[in-house]
Amino acid sequence: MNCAICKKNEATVSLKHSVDGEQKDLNVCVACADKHGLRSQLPLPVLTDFLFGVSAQADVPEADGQKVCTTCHMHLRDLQKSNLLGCPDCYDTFNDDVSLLLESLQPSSQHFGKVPVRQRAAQIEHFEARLKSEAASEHFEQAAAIRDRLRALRHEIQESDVRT
Amino acid sequence: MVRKPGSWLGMKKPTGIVISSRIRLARNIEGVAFPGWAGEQERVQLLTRLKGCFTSLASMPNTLVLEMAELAETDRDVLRERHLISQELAERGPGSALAISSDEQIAIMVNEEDHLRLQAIAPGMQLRDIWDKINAVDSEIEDLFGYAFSPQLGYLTACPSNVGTGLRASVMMHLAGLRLTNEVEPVINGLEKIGLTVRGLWGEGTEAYGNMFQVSNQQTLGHSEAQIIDAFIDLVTEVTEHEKNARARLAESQRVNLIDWVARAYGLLKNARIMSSQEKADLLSALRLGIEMGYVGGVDIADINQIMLMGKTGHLQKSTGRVLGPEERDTLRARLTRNKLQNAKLLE
Ligand SMILES: [Zn+2]
Ligand SMILES: [Zn+2]
Repeated sequence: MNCAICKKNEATVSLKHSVDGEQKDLNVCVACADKHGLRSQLPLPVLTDFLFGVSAQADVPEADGQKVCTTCHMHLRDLQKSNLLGCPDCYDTFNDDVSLLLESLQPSSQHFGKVPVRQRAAQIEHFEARLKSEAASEHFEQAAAIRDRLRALRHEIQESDVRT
Repeated sequence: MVRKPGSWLGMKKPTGIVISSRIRLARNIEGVAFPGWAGEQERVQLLTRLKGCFTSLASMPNTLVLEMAELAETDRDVLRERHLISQELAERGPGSALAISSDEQIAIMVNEEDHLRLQAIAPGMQLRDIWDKINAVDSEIEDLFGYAFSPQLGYLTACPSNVGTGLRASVMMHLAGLRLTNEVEPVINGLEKIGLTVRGLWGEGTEAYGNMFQVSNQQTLGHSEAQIIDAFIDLVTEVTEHEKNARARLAESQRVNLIDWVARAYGLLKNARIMSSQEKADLLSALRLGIEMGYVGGVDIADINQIMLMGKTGHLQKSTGRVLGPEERDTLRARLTRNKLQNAKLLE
């Protein structure tokens, strides 16, 4: 059996997970188990919830009790089947589910990388708002990181204005 | 571990421990369903929209667009064996394509898992250079099409594991020394613990044959591209140092065994009449090490890289122009290898 996460390696680690009182197995390879902390730390439910589609919060249900993306009509169950989103808007629709997964995979939930030129204004606005809220909740490290990036972004804009 | 004998430092040949570098960026066009969810018609429409732009990019001159649906299987095999396309793209039909620069250093996959997978590839350790290259291509395309992007999550990708920068940096490493000193496994475990992915280029896990490993970063969100690349280079440099040390220790304490290993590979590669691709990969690993350690002359690393590639099934079939059975392939592979190594000589 192939690993449920990477779909490549042979699954050798079997994790038991309870879904609605029903026992289910999640079979993954050692590498993925370690990578996602499925053997050591405790956020095991995070990933299995994502894979099996059990979310901690009650989501906005559609007619059939499932969330669905209004842009591309992907249902939560489709997402759970493939682990792939249907369209960019799915990130809004399935925000809770994706956030849980990202927490287990990524060091932060804030993008600090390249920003397309036509997105710069929106990015600055977003950073300014976040800077306020991070400072207000005394997350000084995060606030400093945002402030640095904001400064760099404004600098980039100045430079490209000079050039054109 | 850190002791470095002068013999190693005095060697003029490049180490070649990092065989090649690659950076890929995952990008998607706003308002369009991701390829895995889109219908064929949507994928074909998107390719039609994108196609024209590839041939007009200043940062990517002389670009050729190859549509998967129009390519023969052998041609798709050749592209896959050169790591220009993935198995996934090779299996896709209408709407999927590869845009490739004439020097094969920039390759854009269209409608693979994401709308665009921009890749830059170069021999040796050149991650910073290829980042500049692919960054320039990306900026040009960004000007022509609106990318799917969110100020919170960055570039939006079909799989949440690529969101943010969409950047995957990877290197192919030849770790023959660490294999011989039985240190490959702890090194790989160490890398995986700090969030890198390591896989055998051929075969699985540490059973990789040919001692070739692909190392790549896993995290894409929360750091800038430069931070991701710098941290990755630091780790690759560390592994390279481990490999150098292993080789130096072997040359000092097990010199005869090491030369024997190289010489046996040399003998087989120069004389065998039948050779499987796995055997060839393992023997070439020994010969490659022999060249780098100065035990073998008359052939250089570029030749080895060429032998590695031309012995693969797709390349063999492309060169003969027909489909070959396994036995035919093994004989042809052995003959091509012998010819290519005609001038090779043992120096020790
Ligand atoms: Zn796995
Ligand atoms: Zn959607």
